[in-house]
Amino acid sequence: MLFELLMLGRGGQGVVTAGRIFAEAALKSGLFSQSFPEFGPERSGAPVRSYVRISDEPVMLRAPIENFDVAVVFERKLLDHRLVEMIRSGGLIVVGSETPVEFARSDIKWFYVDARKIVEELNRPRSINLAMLGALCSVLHLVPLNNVEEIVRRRFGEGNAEVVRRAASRVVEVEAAA
Amino acid sequence: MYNLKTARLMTGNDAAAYAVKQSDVDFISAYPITPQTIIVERLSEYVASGELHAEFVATESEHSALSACVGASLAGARAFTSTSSQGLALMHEILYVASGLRCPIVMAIVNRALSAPLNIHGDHSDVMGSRDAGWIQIFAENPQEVYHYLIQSFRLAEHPDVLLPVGVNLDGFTVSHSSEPVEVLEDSVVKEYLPRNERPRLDYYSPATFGAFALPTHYFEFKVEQDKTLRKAGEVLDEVAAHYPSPEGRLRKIDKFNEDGRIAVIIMGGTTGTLRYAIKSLRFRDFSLISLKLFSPFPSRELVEAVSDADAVVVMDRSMSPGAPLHPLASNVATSLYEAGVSVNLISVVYGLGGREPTIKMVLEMFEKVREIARGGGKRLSRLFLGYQGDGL
Repeated sequence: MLFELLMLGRGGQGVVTAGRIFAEAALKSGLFSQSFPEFGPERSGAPVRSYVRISDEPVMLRAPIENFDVAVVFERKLLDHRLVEMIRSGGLIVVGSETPVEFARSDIKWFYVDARKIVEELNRPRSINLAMLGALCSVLHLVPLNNVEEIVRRRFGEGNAEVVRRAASRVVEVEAAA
Repeated sequence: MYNLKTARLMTGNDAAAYAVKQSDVDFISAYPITPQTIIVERLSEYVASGELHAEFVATESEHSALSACVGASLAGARAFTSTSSQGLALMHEILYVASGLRCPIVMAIVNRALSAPLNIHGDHSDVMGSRDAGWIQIFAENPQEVYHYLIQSFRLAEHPDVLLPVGVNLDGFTVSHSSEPVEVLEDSVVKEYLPRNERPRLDYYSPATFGAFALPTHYFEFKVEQDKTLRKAGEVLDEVAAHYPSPEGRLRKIDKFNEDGRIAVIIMGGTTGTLRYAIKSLRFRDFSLISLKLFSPFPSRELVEAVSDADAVVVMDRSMSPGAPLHPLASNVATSLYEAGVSVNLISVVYGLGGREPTIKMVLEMFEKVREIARGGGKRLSRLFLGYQGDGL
C-alpha cells in the first residue's frame, strides 16, 4: 500500500506543519510516512503545497508527487480544474468552504468543512491547518483522529485540540447531483 | 528494520543536528545557506539551551567558518560545520588546508547546484567541485542514514590512522527537508562509541608546528603521504563501522540491491530510493542497484566486483564535468574497470541538475532505453541525459 496526499493552502497557514503532523500521526499508528514541502522560496499568502506519503513498508520513493489519492485544499479559491484532475480515481478531496463545493468529478468523494468559522468560534485564527487536519482524519479513516489530536495537544495545547475535534464533527460530504 | 514505536519523524537536517549534538562536539562554526541553514540553526538552539556544551561561532562567511574549525581542530577540539553550494565553493581554499593539516573536522554538505544560473535546489556540483580536496566523502540516501553516517564520521575522522576531515553529503531539499522516520541511539551509547583520542595538537607546554612551509624538497612527499592515508581510510572505515552499535546503520562502502539483476545501476544520494522503488514495485527485476555510500576514497575493488558480470553498467551522475571525457562518478567507475581489465557496456547518465528530481515516468523511460542499449550488446560507451528537455543530443 502506498498512499499519497496533497495539502494546499497559503504561506502562513501552516500547510507544511499540517503535512508533518499527519505524517507523525501515521507513524504513531504503526505506518511508515514521509512528508515534504514543495521546495522553493515561499511568500506569505502565496499558494503553498506540502505532500505526505504513507505506506505499510518503508517509503523509499523520493520522486515528486504528480498524482495523489487525497487533496486537502484549505480555501475554495485555491481549487482549480488541473488540481482536481490530479486526484486518483476512488480518491477524495476535502475543501475549506462555507458552502458545498461543486461536484466536478464523480469518481472521487467530495467533502467540505467551514474551517474559517470553526477557528473563529474557538478564537484560534491561525489554526486553519488544524481544522483541515481534523476534517481529513474524520473522512479518510487511515490515521486515527486521536493520534492527530494528541500531537496537536502536546504541541499547541488543548484549545487547538478542540479545533481538530470540532472540524472532525463538522465535515460534510457533498452529495452527487441527481 | 525500523521500530515504528520508537522512531521519530525527522528531516535530514533535523537528523544531522541531532547526530552532531549526540556526538558531543566541542566547536561549531558556520554561516547560513539554503538548504543547510536548519542544521546550524538547530545546533545553535542546542547550545543556547545548554543541551550541548560547545562553542558556537557565527562567522561572516563560509571561508571563515571553516578556518575557525581548522583552528579549533588543531587545538584538539571536535569541530563541526555545515554548508551547501556557494558556501562550499567559498571554503575551497580551506578545504585543502583542513585535509593537509590532518584536521578531523566533520562537515554536513547539503548538496545544492552552483550558480550561474542561480539555483537553490539539489545536485552534486558543489561537492564534485571539491572532490580533489583530500576529504573523505560519504553519501547518505535518507535522514536515517544521515544520522548514522555522521556519528560514524567522527570516529573515522579521529581514528589515529586517519586524522582527515569527512564530508557527509545529503541531497538538498529531497533529503534535507523531507520528514521521515528516524531511529536514534541513546546519548550514552553514542558517547561510548566516540571516545576522545589523544592526537597531535597545539599545546603551549609541548610546542609543535602545524602548517609549516614545505619547499620543493618536501611538498611532494607530504602530498603522496596524504593520498596514501586517504586510501587507507577505506579499510579503517570497515573497522569503525563494525563497532557501530546499530548493526543496520553501519556504513558500508557500497550497498547492493536486487543483486541478481543483469543491468547494474550505480548511483549516490537520495534518488537511489526512487530507483529501489521502481525495481521492487514496478517490476524492473532485471536491474540491480549499487548505492555508493563512499565516494572518496573510491571503493574501486568493491565496485568492480559488484558489476563485472553485468550485461550493462549504468552510472548516474548528478553533476557534470564540462569538457571532460566523462562525468565525475562515471569517470571513476570507468577508470576502476580499466585498471581491473574489465570491459563492459557502459552507460553514463546525467540526471537531476538544479533539482530536476527524476519522476517515476522519467525513471521508467530511462530503464527502457537502457534495456535497449543492453540488448544491443557490445562494449561501448553511451551517454544519456535523464529529463533533459533541450535538443541536440
